[in-house]
Amino acid sequence: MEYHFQLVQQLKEKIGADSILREEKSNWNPNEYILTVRAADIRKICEFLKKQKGFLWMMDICGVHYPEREENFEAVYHLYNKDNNKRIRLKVPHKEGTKIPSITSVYKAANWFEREAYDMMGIFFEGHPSLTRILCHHKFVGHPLRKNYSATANQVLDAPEVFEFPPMPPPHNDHEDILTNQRTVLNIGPSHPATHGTFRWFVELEGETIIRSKAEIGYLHRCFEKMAETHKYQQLLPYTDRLNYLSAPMNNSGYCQAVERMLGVTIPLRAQYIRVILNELSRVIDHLVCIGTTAVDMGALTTFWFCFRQRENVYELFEKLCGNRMLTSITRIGGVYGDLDEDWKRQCRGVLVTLRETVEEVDKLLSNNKIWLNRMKDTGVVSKEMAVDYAFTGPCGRASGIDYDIRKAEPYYDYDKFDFDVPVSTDGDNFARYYLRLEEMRQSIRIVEQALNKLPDGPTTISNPLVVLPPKSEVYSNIEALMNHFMLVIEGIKPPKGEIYSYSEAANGELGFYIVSDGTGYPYRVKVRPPCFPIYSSFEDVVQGGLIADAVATLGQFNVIAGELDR
Amino acid sequence: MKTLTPLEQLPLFTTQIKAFINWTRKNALWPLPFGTACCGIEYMAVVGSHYDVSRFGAEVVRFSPRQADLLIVAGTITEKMAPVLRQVYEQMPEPKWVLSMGVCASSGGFYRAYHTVQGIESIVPVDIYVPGCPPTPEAVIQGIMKLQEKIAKGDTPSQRLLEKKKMAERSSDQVQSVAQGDSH
Amino acid sequence: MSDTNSKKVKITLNGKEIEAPAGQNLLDAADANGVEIPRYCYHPGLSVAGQCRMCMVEVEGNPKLQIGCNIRCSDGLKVISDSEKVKNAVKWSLEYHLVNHPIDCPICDQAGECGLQEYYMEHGQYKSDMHEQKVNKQKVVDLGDHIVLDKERCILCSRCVRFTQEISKTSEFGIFNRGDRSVIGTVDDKPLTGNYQVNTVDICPVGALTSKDFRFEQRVWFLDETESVCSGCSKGCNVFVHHKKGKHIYRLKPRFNEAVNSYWMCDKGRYTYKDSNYDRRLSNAKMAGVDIPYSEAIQTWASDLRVLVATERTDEIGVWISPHHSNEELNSILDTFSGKLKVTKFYSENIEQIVQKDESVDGFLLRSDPYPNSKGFLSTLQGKKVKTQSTDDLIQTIKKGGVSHIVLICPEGQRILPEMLKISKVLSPFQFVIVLTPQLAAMEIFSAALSLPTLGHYEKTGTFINHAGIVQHTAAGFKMFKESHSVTDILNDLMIAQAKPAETRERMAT
Repeated sequence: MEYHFQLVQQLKEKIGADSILREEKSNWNPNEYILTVRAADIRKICEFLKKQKGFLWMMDICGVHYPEREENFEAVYHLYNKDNNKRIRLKVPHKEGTKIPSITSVYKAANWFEREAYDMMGIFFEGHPSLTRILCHHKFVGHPLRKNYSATANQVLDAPEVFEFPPMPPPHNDHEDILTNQRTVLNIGPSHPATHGTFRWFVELEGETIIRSKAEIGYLHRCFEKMAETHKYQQLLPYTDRLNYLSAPMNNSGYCQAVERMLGVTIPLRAQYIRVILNELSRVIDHLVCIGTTAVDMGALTTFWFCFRQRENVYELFEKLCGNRMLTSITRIGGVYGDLDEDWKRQCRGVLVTLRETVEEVDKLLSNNKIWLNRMKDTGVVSKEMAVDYAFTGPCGRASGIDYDIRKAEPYYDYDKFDFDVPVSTDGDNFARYYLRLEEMRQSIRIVEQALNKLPDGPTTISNPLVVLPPKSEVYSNIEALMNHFMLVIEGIKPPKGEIYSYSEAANGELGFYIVSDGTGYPYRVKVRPPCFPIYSSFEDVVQGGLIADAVATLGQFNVIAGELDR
Repeated sequence: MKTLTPLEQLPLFTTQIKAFINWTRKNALWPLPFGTACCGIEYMAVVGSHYDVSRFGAEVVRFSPRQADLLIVAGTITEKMAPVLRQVYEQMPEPKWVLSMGVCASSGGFYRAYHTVQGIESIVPVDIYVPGCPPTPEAVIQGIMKLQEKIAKGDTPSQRLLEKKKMAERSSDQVQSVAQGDSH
Repeated sequence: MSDTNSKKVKITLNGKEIEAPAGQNLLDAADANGVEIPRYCYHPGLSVAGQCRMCMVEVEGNPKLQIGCNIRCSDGLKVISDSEKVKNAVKWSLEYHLVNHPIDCPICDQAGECGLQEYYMEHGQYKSDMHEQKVNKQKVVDLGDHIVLDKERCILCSRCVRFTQEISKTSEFGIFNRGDRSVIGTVDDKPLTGNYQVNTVDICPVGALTSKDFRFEQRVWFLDETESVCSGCSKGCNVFVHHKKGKHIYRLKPRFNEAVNSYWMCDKGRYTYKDSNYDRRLSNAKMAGVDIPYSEAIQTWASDLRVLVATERTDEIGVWISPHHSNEELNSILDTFSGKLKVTKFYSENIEQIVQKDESVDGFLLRSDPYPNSKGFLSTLQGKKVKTQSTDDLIQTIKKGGVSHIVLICPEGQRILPEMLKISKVLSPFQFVIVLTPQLAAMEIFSAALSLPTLGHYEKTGTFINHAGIVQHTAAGFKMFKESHSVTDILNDLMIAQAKPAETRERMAT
């Protein structure tokens, strides 16, 4: 705490004593400090923290609506310092209509986050280069995450938005050839095989070189955060599956971890190990899809089939455990649903063997392949400075040299007792990301093996009557357990009033959940910090000046999952 | 041993042209996977070797609407995506079919929300709904097989529309030829 | 009974000093200061019984725990309700209540508003030790037209016994047998009598007494709650309206109002929600039985009015009104017809006589005046200097051909239908009849008329004056049908359409 105390003193000296309105400690994280600051000073505070104190990562910006307060909106910023692993949450309470200074000049990652806060809450950021809607469609009226906007008030769109680039002087070249002294404007997506679902990418090309581009998202905005406010904590679990749908157990795990931290409960060790096994298996299959789909985009279809064949094996494991192949909803607040028996463990070990073989197969097929090397090496280069500025985490961040993995930096679920390495590269190109993912798969398989061997005995859920449903045998045989079950289902789990920012290492990076609780069974606000959101916000800058074919490779390797990006 | 008639002895069978064409159509469905979300990934599993939809002639996945005849809407359609879906549907040539894969496409799923279309039938006419979240690949294949039955009978709106157009053309030809004094 | 007098005393509750009126019951004082002391048998409208033993508190000066409901606030009283001793006592009291409680939650109507469920989560949270066979008692005992008794679920708080002794004064409920065989019931399970039976369902903390009308209809956590005033008689009991998203009303519950109805309401008033419910309602504007859009209906009406105004024949307009409307609606009716259109022919029942003869029917709540706003009606008429003639006068005028444009603003409820039938029998095709009503049956009587749906009583925002002259406000919490509007809005639209024939103001769908 001394570090934070000193920090606040320095801030008060530098910015002004009345810029900091309130200081609080986090209720679970000794490395986090929460400051409530004045709106007018936010940019100066962020500049000071970034340049002087090493808070180089701008993890998340969101808005919260408190209609009963006089200052009825709050903009919340999360900053991270990798050198000493400290976090700061800055809360800026303000009245509706106040212009908050934008921090895009300080952190590039803030660009899209501020656009989202504007779209969802109507918070206006002054000085933002283009404060327009990002998730809802361009004809949307109103700000949907406000408390007075009904969750079911649909607004129909009749035609997609027409993009136009502002005019630019024509290219200068010595050839008379008409093909090279005109620019082509191309609209790629949202229904396009290379866009992996639903991104729209508007490019201006000079030949095959990208001069300008505009990435548009929001085509899969399914209103997760609004659903969070209309559903109870337990009911929200299936929605979390559909965030990063390729590795659903990791989202379940991250969300349940956040609620458990708010409740102040620790799940039994067996449940922790089971979550680790499921998380690492999900990480493997996520990377398999990433490599597989990038390979398809490059033309290597065979790899795609190999990778998907392995996904089927893991699907069988998931299906055996919980019934659903992909979107498992496997964790519960307070533990895990279902238990691993010896049969499952045996099958899992078999799957690990085939996974290892496939990883080596893919390595052999691709890593020394001339076409692959030509397409992936030195394309989509993201330097370390750019990666930090855009808050890259996860494999994309580690490929650019950022040595940050939450499992090593702030271990949870006994990750510090597992023997595994975290690969880091300094090249920052597509090949590095691909190779890093291959290596991560190997490490994840190692972790699963160790977890299977060390799996402790014990219950898979805690037996807290305010959190976990009592066992069915009791529910059907005595009135107390029946009433307990009833009340947990009707009224829900009630975390104490307060807020939390909980984070875990998902397949793409830091998956954060910022949850505000008002003491009832329904969350007051849930903000998901998707790992690929800031990564994708850098896409326009990364591909500029490169070839369009390279941009396709970059898009594949950034592993942007629309479910997470758009929520 | 039943004695075969001279016609039955020949190595051929009789059928209607309509039935023959429908047989070819149903066995060569070229899908356009309009995959937006999780169902898109499950569709990839259907196309994979374990479930292998290419047994149904649907291996050739075409991302261009001009080359496809089965629009598989796999995933949630949001209000922003809806006009795009409509445009893609309209670009497909007749006969065309729509398979709504998953509950999100069929009815909005459990997203009763301000940006989710509550079922694509308000955007495109749907022939087959496959429920599930995501539907298991077996369910998708069952959906395709049901669609094949409908196509064989000529029962889908798209085929009926084509029939109507052909009848209209034929009757206008007849009118024209009568007007021109041809004797038929 | 909450005895309060103006003298204030200081008591200490959980270490905090609070002020309370001298003699106030400790539980009421705790409620007023945000301290929740659990209780089942205590009800501020009934006498103290001390039956449930849940409100145990530590009182300074007493070695044993005392029940809080029997403690009156006096100066220097020191009470602790959150110590370990008290918490344990509450926990084990609850366990004893649950020892023989049947495992009925899935089929019990009370789930979601059950005292046992709520207190288990807050004060219980123990694992059950009861492995014996529970005592079986009668379930589904039919106690007449309104109530079903389940003797197993009863926790013997005796609220219903005290209610029938002190409030409804029928003394029908009693506790029979002894020990763990004790049951609540009527003698020989005879059916209950009287007009106040369903209040026992409100006060029963568990699902022992359930209302036949609400039984198995809806789970309470799906219900939304809005506040209104009963439309059954001139008492104007305050009510909570329980409905699901405004589409279906399920029940009414009394709302505490010391001056009007205390904690209770009568059964007749309780069932007035059925007249406002979706199945008896007119949902669309109709012309001669055919659905038409609201704007078209307004235009049709306005065009006829324009003709009458232009040819100076507004004396051919007759308007039938009733005190079922709020003061605001009545004001707008009189402003529009008497004020703007200079109509002189107003008809209604003989409200003055009804008000004069208004008296309590049973010595408690129900009154003989069946309208919620008779006094408001009379004062509004007096204020606008309008007099109404009787329905028979209207019938005579119709027969003589004195009216050609008849506006019938007919309330909900079957009581008014015979009057309407009488009027419909004398109508001829020469009269243009407009019916403004919420009820389907009234529209069906006037099959050739232009009908416009109005709001049901429980959707109205307005003021109602009860028999004692108390002005009560209601605030609409929902609107059942998109096409129905309040009388005020309809008449506003009518006047706008009448003035500007070319324009129609499209009413935004709310």
